[in-house]
Amino acid sequence: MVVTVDDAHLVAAARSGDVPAFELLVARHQKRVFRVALRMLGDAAEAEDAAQDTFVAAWRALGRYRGEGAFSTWLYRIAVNKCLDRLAARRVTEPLDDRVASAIGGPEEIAQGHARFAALIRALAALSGEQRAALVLRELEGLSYEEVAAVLGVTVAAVKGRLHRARAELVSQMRDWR
Amino acid sequence: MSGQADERLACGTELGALIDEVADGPDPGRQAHERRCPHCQPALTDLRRVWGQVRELAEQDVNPPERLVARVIDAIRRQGPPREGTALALEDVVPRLVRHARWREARGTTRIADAVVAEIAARAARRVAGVHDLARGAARTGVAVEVDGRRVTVGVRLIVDYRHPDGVSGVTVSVRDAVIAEVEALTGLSVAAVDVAVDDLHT
Repeated sequence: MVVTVDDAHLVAAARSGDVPAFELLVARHQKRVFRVALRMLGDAAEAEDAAQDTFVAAWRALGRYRGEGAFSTWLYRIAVNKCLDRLAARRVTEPLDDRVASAIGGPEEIAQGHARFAALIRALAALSGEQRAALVLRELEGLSYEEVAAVLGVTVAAVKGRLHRARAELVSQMRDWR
Repeated sequence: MSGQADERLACGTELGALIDEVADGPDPGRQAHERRCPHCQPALTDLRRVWGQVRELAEQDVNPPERLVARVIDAIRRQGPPREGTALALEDVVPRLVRHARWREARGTTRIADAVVAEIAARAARRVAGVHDLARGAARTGVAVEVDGRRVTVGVRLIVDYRHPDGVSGVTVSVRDAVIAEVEALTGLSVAAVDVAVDDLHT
């Protein structure tokens, strides 16, 4: 078993310009950042761009990360904000089916996954960005209410209220598609 | 789109409350009612089935494209160091082009590609007791080499065995000695410095 150096040490090295240290951080966290972006945006290509934006922004802002809270929480916050920016910038609603097709994962996973999750992914896409963020972090990423609150910068009570509405909306949407 | 958070079953139970229960686990205060309720029971069964999709999606393995790390690193190399950054790591200042150590001798010039020096250094480092492996980034060997004429500077990133009796510092000293001896013996270059970084421990 390889015990990795903790994020805090790598962040300290990266902050002083050590690119390989940052590369290790990217390798370590790329999966969750990409996954959140994919669920938020419903589009694999756009999720890749958003993930890149997230890490580049993190690199630039390393000096502002003071180690209060987990590095992953900080990254989640940047990633969610990058995705919300992209959702807000989508002026013309593109045909949902095109996005759903690429939302399942890699190309080889689409064939099996598409039919099974199409209704859910459509339903996710129908939620507001803020509801989607709460839902993705809590239900798909498995964060606690406290962690979701820390990522979104709101109170735990606000997270609960947002999730309450988001879940009901999601179920309603999934039933409509059935 | 109208949510169902306020929708109520015939027994007066809010559908939204049942959905929260399905997502978060049962609410002990409600169980006595739900267990007997002919409206809550089928609703819960239906909701659990719908919510099962969410659970399945959460379990699904999603892999980022393999090029993502390289894309990020290329982008930040173009950006330069973070705002507060000053120091540069060795690998930063070594461009990823082939460089040669090069010198003139009585009957001609000799040149040795930096990749050759890196490979020799990597093999020497791996042979040292206490070195589990070299620490690799996305597309890197764990060794960086900077050449200048007949002098060479080597950077090595290691995964060290956690409980090795020499300790982490002892292992790094051995690696430095081994790399210098091997590179100088095989190439005739002069090793100016070996920078050793321990990134990971193996237990």
